[in-house]
Amino acid sequence: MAITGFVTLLLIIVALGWAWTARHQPPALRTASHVVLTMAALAGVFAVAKIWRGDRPRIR
Amino acid sequence: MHTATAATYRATPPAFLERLNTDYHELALRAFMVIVLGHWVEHLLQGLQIYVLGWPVPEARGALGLVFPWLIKSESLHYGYAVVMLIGLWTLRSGFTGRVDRFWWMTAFWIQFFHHIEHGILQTQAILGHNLLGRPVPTSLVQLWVPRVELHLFYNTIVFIPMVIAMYYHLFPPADEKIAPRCSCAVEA
Repeated sequence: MAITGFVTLLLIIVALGWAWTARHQPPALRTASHVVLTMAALAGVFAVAKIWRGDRPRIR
Repeated sequence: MHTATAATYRATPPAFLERLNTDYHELALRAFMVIVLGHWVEHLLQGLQIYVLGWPVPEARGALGLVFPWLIKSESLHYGYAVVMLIGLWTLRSGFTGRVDRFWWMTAFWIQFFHHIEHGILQTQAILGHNLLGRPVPTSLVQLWVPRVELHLFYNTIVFIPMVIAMYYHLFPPADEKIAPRCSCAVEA
């Protein structure tokens, strides 16, 4: 499904962002960036889990 | 008199918002998604430019910013998009007639409302020419702690995710949903 592709892309960007911020940002900003990037990744994973696993609707 | 009134009612077309949330809901949602995904392309490209290509952050302006640098530097564009998102989420809400899809759609709306406030703060600083706490660039509240690129990647994600979940349940309504949809969005078995 399209959302899985999107979340995969998001996770790649987040991983790249995590690595880049670790190398280029001062400690305080790096931690803040890591927090929001992690939360974005978790939101993406939540969406995929919600759609594929939990509370799956039945088509009328 | 009674007949005339009935005829009048028949002749009156449904209000624009009503049609947008019934006959045209599917079309409107598709159009809205094109705008949202276009915006996502810009943010993902910006991430690519910074994290992979190693461009300096001020130079990483997505695709539009390469052609129109002034456009991306302008806070008006960012604020305008935030308002378009807010209007889209609000005007298309009543087409989400189910309990679950409406919940997730309105979750996206309220998160976008906060995101829009953040952009409003940036836009105000750009208009006044005075930045928050003497910062060199317009700075939103959360941006006092979190760098802008990562922060807005986060904001856009947490608005988009509930939107996607809402649309999923709108397209594939749960069987126990009590209220029948008024639009053509739902995928029939």
